[in-house]
This record gives sequence, structure tokens and C-alpha cells, in this order.
Amino acid sequence: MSTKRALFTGVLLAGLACALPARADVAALTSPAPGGMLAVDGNISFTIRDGAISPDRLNNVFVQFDGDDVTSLVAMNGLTVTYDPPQRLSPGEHRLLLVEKLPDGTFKGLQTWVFRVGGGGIAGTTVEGTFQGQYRYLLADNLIGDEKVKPHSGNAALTANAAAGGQTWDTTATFNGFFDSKSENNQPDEDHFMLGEYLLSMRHQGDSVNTWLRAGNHDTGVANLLVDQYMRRGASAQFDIGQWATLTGFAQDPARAIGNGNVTGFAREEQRAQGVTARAYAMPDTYGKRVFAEAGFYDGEGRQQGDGTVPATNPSEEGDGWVVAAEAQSLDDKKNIRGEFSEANFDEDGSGVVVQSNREAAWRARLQYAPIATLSHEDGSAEKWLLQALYQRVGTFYRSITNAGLPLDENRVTLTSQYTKDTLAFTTEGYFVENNTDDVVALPTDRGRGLAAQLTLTPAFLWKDTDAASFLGRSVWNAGGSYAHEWRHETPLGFGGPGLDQDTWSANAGWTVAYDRWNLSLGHTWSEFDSEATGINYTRSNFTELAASWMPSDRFTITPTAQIQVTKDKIQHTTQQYFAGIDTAWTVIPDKLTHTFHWSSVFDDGTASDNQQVVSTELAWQLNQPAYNTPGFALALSGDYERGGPVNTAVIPPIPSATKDENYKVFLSLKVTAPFGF
Amino acid sequence: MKILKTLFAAFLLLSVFCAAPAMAQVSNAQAVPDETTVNLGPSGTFTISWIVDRNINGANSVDLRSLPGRFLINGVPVATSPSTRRVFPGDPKTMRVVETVRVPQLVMRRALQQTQGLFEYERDFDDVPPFNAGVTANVTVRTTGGMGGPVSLSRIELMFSNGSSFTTVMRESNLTAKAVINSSGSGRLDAVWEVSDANPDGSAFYRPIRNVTRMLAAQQRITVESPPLPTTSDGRVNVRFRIKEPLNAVQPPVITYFVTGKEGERGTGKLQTMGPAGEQPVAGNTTFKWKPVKGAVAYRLQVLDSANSVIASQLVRVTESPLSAFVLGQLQAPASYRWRVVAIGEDGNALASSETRSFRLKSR
Repeated sequence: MSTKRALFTGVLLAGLACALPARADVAALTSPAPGGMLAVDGNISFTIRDGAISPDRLNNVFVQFDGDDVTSLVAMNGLTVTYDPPQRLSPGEHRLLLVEKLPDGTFKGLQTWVFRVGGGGIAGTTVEGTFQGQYRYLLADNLIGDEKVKPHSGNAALTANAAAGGQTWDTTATFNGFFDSKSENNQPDEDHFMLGEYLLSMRHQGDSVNTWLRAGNHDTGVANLLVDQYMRRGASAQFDIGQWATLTGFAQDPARAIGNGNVTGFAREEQRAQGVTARAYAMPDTYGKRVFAEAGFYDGEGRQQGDGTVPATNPSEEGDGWVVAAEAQSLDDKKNIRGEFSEANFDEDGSGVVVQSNREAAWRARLQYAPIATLSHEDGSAEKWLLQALYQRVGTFYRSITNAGLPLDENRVTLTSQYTKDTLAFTTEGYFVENNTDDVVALPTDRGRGLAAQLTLTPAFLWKDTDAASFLGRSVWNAGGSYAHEWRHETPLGFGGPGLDQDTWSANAGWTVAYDRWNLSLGHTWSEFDSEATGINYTRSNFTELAASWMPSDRFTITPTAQIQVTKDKIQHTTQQYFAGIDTAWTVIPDKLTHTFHWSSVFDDGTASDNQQVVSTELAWQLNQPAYNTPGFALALSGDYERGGPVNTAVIPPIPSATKDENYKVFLSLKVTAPFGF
Repeated sequence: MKILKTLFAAFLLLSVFCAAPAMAQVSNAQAVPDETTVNLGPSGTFTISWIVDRNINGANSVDLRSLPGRFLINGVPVATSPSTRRVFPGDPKTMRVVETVRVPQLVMRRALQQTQGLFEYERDFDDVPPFNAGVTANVTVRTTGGMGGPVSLSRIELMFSNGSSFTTVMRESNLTAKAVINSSGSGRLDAVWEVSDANPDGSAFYRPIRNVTRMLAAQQRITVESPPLPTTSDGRVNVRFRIKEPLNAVQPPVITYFVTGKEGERGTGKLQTMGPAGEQPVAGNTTFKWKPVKGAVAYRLQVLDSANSVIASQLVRVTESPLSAFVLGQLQAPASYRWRVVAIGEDGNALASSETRSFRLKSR
């Protein structure tokens, strides 16, 4: 065992020793039974554990149901509390919360239960959702040729949730998706159907083992330091073995909709992975779920679709890996320790043609300690100071060059301090990082260090007499800054490139307030980058932003935004960019006529000229209001106008832009909204 | 007369054929700087300027042309740039072309196999039509670690707060998106958050809602949060994070959310409140009153902040009630708030709601 691994193991064992005993639940839900479903007209009841709440504290315990305080509506018989809702409950998920008011006036959550209500449909099945759609008719436009919009268009969306089950097995399903008469992303000749997210979940409540079967979008799968960012769409079976352990088997598509999962080390359009994860809790009767060890293994493959440098008919490549981790936390939340080790094999049989097979390893250790974690009984304020130290070594030559999903090749130490007291929050972070962990001869070994600090507070923290409800009392100030320095250390054989010692500075300050019918924020950021590299030398940027929202009446809101950026650098000299925008929302006639308006303008006098003006507006007349199982209809007249686009053509590749030239469109729409349930 | 016209036409045609064509000749081309660096990584890029000098004769415009660039290691071409042949209109004697080159992984890897970890990138420039063999210019590129070189974005991911690229939200609810960006090198990030309101016509009608500028130092992973996204109108909205600087950055795909109505929460009927009125100071025992609504089995008494967001809510069966101890515990005093009442029917649906009214909570 290497010294680092021995240290790593020692730190983990020390963390386990630091953990303290856990507490038990204060009450048990009796209706519905655990895992069961409540009828739409059923009563909710729970029993307080004997001795969990002393009689003198009961007057300060409240019951909250779906966000409403229902304490005055509950009945108490002995230690059993019953809530008989005055109305029928809607099918679906509901939340019951038990809250205690502490002597200092603050509130503390004692227990939360989430359960489902159903029973109105077929054999206890409930379905609820919303259908929305609109038909649009093009009244006028000035587009020509391929850009021309078809006169008839429409879209529709459906979101639905379903639940079924009883005392032992229950099933839930969620789905959303939508349809456009024309595709997004400028593919006007294709109808487009998009499946959003879906999940079918089944749960079995056993005497000692609870079982979950899931298919669709959910968070089960291996994630480690080398292969993460999974979309986690697939199927899994999870077994909760009492309070002792959880075992999960899964098969999934590791590719994300955006980015990549890289189970094979590359971005692949066709990927799959399967594996097993396990988590075991140490002495759960004493420690609860605060101390655990976990392990996982996965195996997968992917097929290259061609990225411009290799043939599109590459054979599939394999990837597998494993991870072990352990974490321990003390009951007072003052101490936490976590360690993690990962290993991944990419293209083990060497069938890939881009790079050879490769094995990678990474590890991370994290220590957290809170020297201060107190609640003041005088004014109910809290004070907390959290320190964190993190070391990680991830990445190698192979991954750095091919895997975009993670930070580059590095050794990194990060020290973080977070202090909060009342409205004051002060965070500092320092880091030291080194590249080229594999000492590749052709690469320089760069090192960097940085510091950052950020402060947020309200004036009331400084001046105790400040009225918390006043304009000053509702103001929040913030200020911060950062400094980073990177420098190069030569490789053993020397590196002939230019020097890259460089510094980056930044400072920011801002002010926000929400008062009466106003929300205002003003901020400024200054930053400067200095480099020894030829031709870059420095870049200095000043960025000012003002955002506001004003509601002169309950029926009218106006939201102006303005930004000014001035950048000065060696190559482009001084450039200015201005952004201004206004949004309004006006209820002209309550429940009938609404109006929305947007205007924005971007002006950039730099080399990447991208001046743009956009106006859009809509006037909507609600023919009838939608209600549960009753569709609502509205007629809308809307218009879009845009002008602008790039003028710089001597750039490879051309600068992407939202718009070109000048055009407008006017539509008449019929909208439908239909919430439903059965 | 006809003869004159014929002669005039013939003269015109002759003049056209005899006119001296515009002549141009590329005399020199160079890359500025002629040596640069590229970050080790999957999407390493570098930006250079090509300065092209030409000798131009004649009155007509002569365009400049360049074939795709070539990557060379030890003088041997190993790949070409993915950009297609480019034609730059205009006829200045000196043309400046700015190019941001994305280095293929294959080139990066082969360069690292050399002791010095470098490669060359070159382009040929000539005119349209070509009048000579053209001129070649090149730049020497050295690979560096993640902290060296200009800023490069290796990965960009857009998501909503639920970690998904798709979500459904209620009307007038709070929604933001975030962009998680892996970068290397140092430099400036300029981007703009844009949304496309419910627009089924297929056209890309995006409107900017916020500019973003950040100075990136060394390799890092940053998260850029969007401003509140519009949720006032029902329908589908696309969100994108368009990157303007660095040039040639990967443009993240669009993410989508759907705004759905919430009329069912407040009902369509009207409920009349009776007090307290206006800015009347309210103590803990002040009774809030309203008129009964036919069919209502319960009433939801809600307290809202200045932005009309519900802070606390209590459910009662009767038509008058003081604020509960739990609700009062959520409020500061002294301070101004708003309140309203929603009548709930036996089926659980909202029957009616009151207008929102103000009150001022006295010191306790």
C-alpha cells in the first residue's frame, strides 16, 4: 500500500471514530400506513412517540399540511393526532410537516411525511396532469424564400402523473412531452416531437426489505471522479435492507442530452452501461445514516459516430470502472470526513482506433469542521463557521486530452472558509493546483494558486437600530474580490514555448433591495488579466449592471435592465458594449385581457459587432378560465420584430448570431389549457 | 438610325471585351503571432491573425481565397482544419483575417509524442481567380498544460435547477437556468442568456435577457446562473447561452421549459374581505374577516410579501380568524405585508379569491 493510500485509509478510520450517536423519530404516521395510499376523503393521523415531546412543549408544536397551517383543525387523543381535511384531497403527492417553535422564537422541523392520495379511479389508480396547446395563424410577415413562415402552425404539451397501489406495492408514473408543428433549431420542414422526462417507479414494502423498481429518468448509477455527469436514464432495481444497507443494480444510457458521459473515455452517441452499487451503514441504531461505506462497479460500451478526424464506422469500445468511498459525520454537524477512490479502464481490448487502451485512477479526501455552530437564544440568530480542506488528484494525460467532462489533469488542494452570522456571510477560498501529474515530457508542468473572498451583509448587521422593515433594513450589500497567479515550471528536457506567467484580478461590489413594490439591484465588476505571453499582455474589463422590477399596481409590472461593459486589451483596444431591456406585464381587465411586452437592444462596437434589437408583444383575451377538468380557451394577437446581425465577415469561423437583417411576424393564436384528473 | 444603334451596341460590346481585368497578386502572408500555444484538452483552440499583402491593379474588386488550413508535425501534414474553403470579399491591399482554430485530438496526441510537443498550422492564400500559385504562411503551436494559453471552453452544460434540460413550471413561478462550464487557460468569457418565447413557427426568434461577462483564470469549472426566466405566459420556451467570447467556443444546445397555468389555485369567483382595512396596524390578536362564499367548506388565509409571493398560509373552516401563531412566527414585526383569502370547495378546488390587501404588523 502506498503512503498516500495508507494516509487516506487512516483519515477515513479517524472519521468513523469521530461520529456520534443519532436520534430517533418523534412520531409515526398511522394513516395512511407507511407505503400506503390515502383515500381522497380519508383522515390523516400520526402518533407521537411516548416521551418524544414533553407536555409543556405540545402547545408550541404545529401541523402544516401542503404549506397550510392546519393546527387549529387537528384533534388530539392521547398521543394520537388526527387531521380531518374539510375538503376532498386532490390525487397525488401530499406533505405533512410537524414543526416546533423553540423558546428563542425560531421554528424547527420535527418530522416530515410525504404520501400519496388516490382511490377515485380504476382500482385505486389516479391520474392528473395538464394539457396545453395553441394554434397560430400567420397574419403578416416580411420574410422571403426559405425563411418564410408557414401560415398555420401549432404546438401542444402534455404533463401527466399517475399513481396506483396499496399497502405493499404501489406504482407511480410521470411523463411530459410536447409537439411542435415545426421543429426547433431551424428545421422548419419537420414536425417535432420531444419527449421530456419520464419515470415509471414501483415500490414494494416488505418486512425487512423494501424494493424499488424504476425505469426512466432517475438518479441511479455509478458516478465517480473519472466518469460522472450521467443523464441517468435507464432501469434499476434497488433493495433497502432495513437500516443496514442499500443494494442497487442498474442498466442505463450514460450519455447526457448535453455534454457526454464518457463511459468509454470519449463522447459517444450510442452508449450503455450496467453495474451494481452498494452502500452499508455502520451501526445504524446508534449512528443513523451518518456513517457509511459505498462501492460501485460498472461496465459499458459505446460506438463512435465520427468527429471529423476518424472514420464514422469505428468499432464499439468498452469502458469499465469501480469506485469505493466512505463518509462519516458527527451528530452535531461539526465534523465530516469523506474519502473516495476511483479507477476506470477505457477501451480495454484496444479495439478503438483513436487512442490505445488506458487505465486511470483518481482519489479525493475531504475534511469539514465547524468550530462555531450556535443558535443565539436571545434573538434567534445563528452563527456558523465551516472550514473545509480538500485534496484531489484526478486526470491523466489520456483523460485530459479526450474527456471534456471533468477538470483537467491536476493535483489540487482547496481550503475553504464559510462564516455566517445573522445577515453576514463571508466566504474565502484558496487553492493550489499543479498540472501534468503524469510528467509527460513534452508538456510543461504549470502551477497556480488563487484566493477569493466574498462578503454579503445588510446594514442592520452594522447598525442594530436599523428598522428591519425599512428601506435600509431590506437592503443587501455585497463585495468581493479574487486573485490568481499561474506560473510555469520547465519540463526536464526544457520547454521552448513563451513564458506564461500570468495574474488575474477581480473585484465586485453590489447592492440589492426589495422594498414596497420595488426590487432593485446594482452591481459592478472590475477584472484584469495580465500575461507575459506576447500579444496578450493585458485585458481589463469594467462591467456594470442595473436591474429593477416595479409593480405600480397589482395588475402592472415593469422590469427594466441595463448593462454597460467597457473592455480594454492589447489587441482590440477599448471596446464598449451596452445592453438595455424592458419587460412589462399588464392585466388590462382582470381574468380577461392581458398584455406583455419586451424590448431589448444590444450594441457592441468591438470587432465582434453584433448589434441587435428585439421587440415582442402579445395581447391575450381569455374566453373562459380553465379549471380542474374544464378546459380554458384564450385568443391572442402577437407580434415579433427583430433587427441586427454580424457585420464582420473576415473571421473564421463566422461569429454566431441570433438574427440577421430585419424582419417581423404577426400571429393570431388560439390557446387551450386543460388541467385534468381522474 | 438603325445603323447608328448597331454601331453603338457593337462599340459597347467591344469596350467590355477590351476592358482591362482587375489584377491581384498575393505578395506576402504571415501569421501574427507566428508562435503560440494551445491548451492540452479535448477542445484546445488558439486564435491568430493572418496578415495578407497583395499587389492590386484594375478597378474591379478581387476577393481573397484560402483553402482549409493544414496541421503539420515535423513537416508532415497529419490533418486539415474542419473549416471549409473561405473567400473573403473586398480588395484592400492588406487584408487581416482573424481565425480561431480548434485542434483535433489526433493532432494534439501526436504532438505530445514529440519531445517538444509542438506542431505547425499553415494556410495558403491566393486570389479569386488565382493569378499565381499563392503564398503559404504558418504558425508554430506548442501544447501546454491546462493553465497555459488563451481561454478555452472544454465543456458547457445547460440545465434547470432540477438538473434536467427540460422542466415544467407553473405560471408566475420562479425559474432560473444555469450553465456549467469547464475552462482552461485564462481570459474573458462573454455570453448572453437568450430565450425564445412560446413560438411554434419554427423560426429562431431569440431575445436577449442578460449579458454575462466573467474573467476566467486557469483551469476551472464555473457555474453561471441566468436571470429569472419569463413565466408569465403559458407555453413552451427555449433557453440558450450564446457565447460570443472566446470565438469558436462550443455553443451549448437549447434547453426547454414549459409554463403551465395555475388558475385552479385561486378560482374564478370573487370573495369580499371585511377587514382589517388598508394600512391599519395589525396585532397578533387582530381578526381577519371576510364574507362567506356559497359552497365553501374551508378558507385559505394567505400572507404575501411585497412581490406577492406567499410567505405563510393557514386553513380555517370559518369566515374570521386571527393569524395563527405559526403564521405570525414567519413574519417580522414591524413590517408591511399583504393578505388574501381563497375559498375552497368540497371537491378541493378553489371557488373564489379576494383582492390582495395590505396590512402593517405592529411590534410585538
